Amino acid sequence: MKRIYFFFILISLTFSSCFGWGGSSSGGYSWNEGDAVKSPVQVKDEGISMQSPQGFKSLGKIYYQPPFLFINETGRGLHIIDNSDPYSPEKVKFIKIPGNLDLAMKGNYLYVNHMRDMVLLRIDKDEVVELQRLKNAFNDKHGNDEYPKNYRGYFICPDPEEGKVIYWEDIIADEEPNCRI
Amino acid sequence: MYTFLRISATTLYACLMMAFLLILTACGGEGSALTSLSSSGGGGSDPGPQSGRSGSLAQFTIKGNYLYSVLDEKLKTYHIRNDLKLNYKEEQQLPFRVETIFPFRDHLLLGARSGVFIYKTGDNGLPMYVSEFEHVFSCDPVVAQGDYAYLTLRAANGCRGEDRFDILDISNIQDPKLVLSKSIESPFGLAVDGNYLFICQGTSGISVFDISNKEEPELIHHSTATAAKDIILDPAKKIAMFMGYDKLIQWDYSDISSIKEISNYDL
Repeated sequence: MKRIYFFFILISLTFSSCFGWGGSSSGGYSWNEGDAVKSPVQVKDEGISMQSPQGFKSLGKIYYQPPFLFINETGRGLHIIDNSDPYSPEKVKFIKIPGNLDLAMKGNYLYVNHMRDMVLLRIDKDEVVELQRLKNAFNDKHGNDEYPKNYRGYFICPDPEEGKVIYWEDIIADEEPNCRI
Repeated sequence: MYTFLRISATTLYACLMMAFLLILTACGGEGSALTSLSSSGGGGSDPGPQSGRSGSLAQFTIKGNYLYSVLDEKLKTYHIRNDLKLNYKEEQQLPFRVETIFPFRDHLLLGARSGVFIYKTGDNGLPMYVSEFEHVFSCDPVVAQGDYAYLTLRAANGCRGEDRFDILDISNIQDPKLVLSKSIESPFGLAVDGNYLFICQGTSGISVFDISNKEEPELIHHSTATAAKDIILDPAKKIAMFMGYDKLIQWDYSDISSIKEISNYDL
């Protein structure tokens, strides 16, 4: 269904350029290898959990609660880095928080968004404990979109099996993406 | 010089580690990875556990016992109770697209697509609009120190406008005045410590300016070795922590004329 929708947009754009409605800015783009395109960050809400250190994909925010650095992995969670020795920082844990975009802390208490909820977590030794949840505290910032907003060009098609689109990141595509708007 | 710095830093950390060990011994705590996250302390205007330090791209910030969010382009206020739980207070619609929030004295500086917006937070914590500085439509984090605010404007990624950084005189917070506008390639996050302004430039690297003369900042260090999106400074230790695209890079800037990269951690 979604593919049909994109196809429809593509057809409309094609025709609009044919009829000269859009001018050079709407129909004139083409994809070149190495171009940055939008790619959906999709998450399934599998809940919050403390995990062993994970690899990085798309870093978003950084927060310093000495001696630890918390680095947000856009839409996925928080990397915890022990920075007691800045010469030799070390990843110690990853807090999986689907949809997470930002954080703030007081001591070992952590305020985060988990999808659309505001959640208070306490880091207890090597565990994370949920203390409070304000449901639907946030609007969908990036929406559960089928396509990136305020954007024209190629993008990687979301896969409905992969959950909700919570963010559109810029990536360098190796091959021509199947969707464009 | 390098060796000296390393030794003194090592000594410092040894002392810190001993302090932590003493605390742990006193509390009878177990030596787990995250035990040294303090759960008490604080003091001053920020009672309870200490809040940490955000990068300049933050959309959450804690000021005193209030948490502010611009995550979904509304300015939301939460009161932090003694048990650290939140009481939702209010939200304000913002007539512009806000991307960052920075706490400054009893004010909040909001970096928006169309400019910098300044709000005052009264005793009840609720923000009240004070003033704004409008600029061309761009992506822009803002930070402040003393009588000045510093912001970067970036044209890429759907943000029109131009690549530059601005210095604003905010000594009269009701009426911010532009002191200087300087072109710089693809600026992202920024931070300031005393006379030094650090600007992340994405894949174009990192620049450090001497800003003792606000009208004529002088580029004193530029590195293209590592990409950086945001930065947090530890002014006590003179350590700069940069978040790249897949790396954590740290500099020792205790000798500003010879900044040293002390770690480059692949994440």
